Amino acid sequence: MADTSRPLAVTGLFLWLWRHSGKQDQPSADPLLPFAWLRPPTGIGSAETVDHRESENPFWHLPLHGTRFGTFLMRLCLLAFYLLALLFILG
Amino acid sequence: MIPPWVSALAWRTSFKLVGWWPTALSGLAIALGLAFAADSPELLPRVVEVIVPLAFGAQAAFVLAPDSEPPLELLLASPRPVPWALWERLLVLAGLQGSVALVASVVTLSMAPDYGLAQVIARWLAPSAFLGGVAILAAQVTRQGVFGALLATLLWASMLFGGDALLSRWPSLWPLHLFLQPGATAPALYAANRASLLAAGLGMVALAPRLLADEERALDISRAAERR
Repeated sequence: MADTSRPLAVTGLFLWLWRHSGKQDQPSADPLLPFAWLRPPTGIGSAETVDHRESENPFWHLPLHGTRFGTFLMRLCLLAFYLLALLFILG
Repeated sequence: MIPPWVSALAWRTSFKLVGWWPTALSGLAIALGLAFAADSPELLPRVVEVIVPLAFGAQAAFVLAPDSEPPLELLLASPRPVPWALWERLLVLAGLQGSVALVASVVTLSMAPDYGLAQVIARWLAPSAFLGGVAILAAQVTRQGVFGALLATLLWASMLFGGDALLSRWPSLWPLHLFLQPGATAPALYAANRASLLAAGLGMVALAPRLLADEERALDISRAAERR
């Protein structure tokens, strides 16, 4: 019988990433959320906030962050890498 | 005096099999892209970066796919190891597409002198190596060039349009972003991203001839026996 543990592990990881990539899909009260990255930081303590976000994620400023379209594209990337990983394992 | 191993190489046949028209097509696409982006200097270096990896990846899938190579039995029976043929065709392809990309890089620099040559080359070299590696490895594993081309195209499109979204959600996946922009991150991280893509791509390219060297696998004997 073929070893199915590795394909199953990769599939599990893929499904976990897929599920968690949709975390930012929650509707927001801020209609400009998809374009929030365009807004310059304003107000007291904003510099601190920017530093905090930058230290957590150096790519937070990139376009499409937190948008539905961004999530769709992200899932497309995950699918492509999932197929590549399966190819490595099954090949 | 020509060394005997040089005469054992079949460059002319490899060039004939790789063909010149896909290279001419990518050269034409780059020329059109540069003409359209001439007024926006920030887009100019992206033209070569976007076109060359796709052209190289799509073409690399078909250099020697076992099921699309009618004289594979003859190649396997000849005294010359069959991975040589794969290496020759890959080198010819890399030479052709690389020449076009280098010329396009110089043209880009002449139009937008603010960029460095090393940066313009790093933009297309790393994703080309990675997509080429993916395409050729997928073609060897599935025995069909079309699967390699499809996977390379899927990776190219998804990373071109969704790579930034992927990084903004999972920043630790930075080694995988094919089209990371130099201005989007620290120079050291950008250099590490290019190095990781190049290493992964060359690793896959090196693995593909090893798969082809397995004669039973190349002729699909084991799977044919399983089917019986």
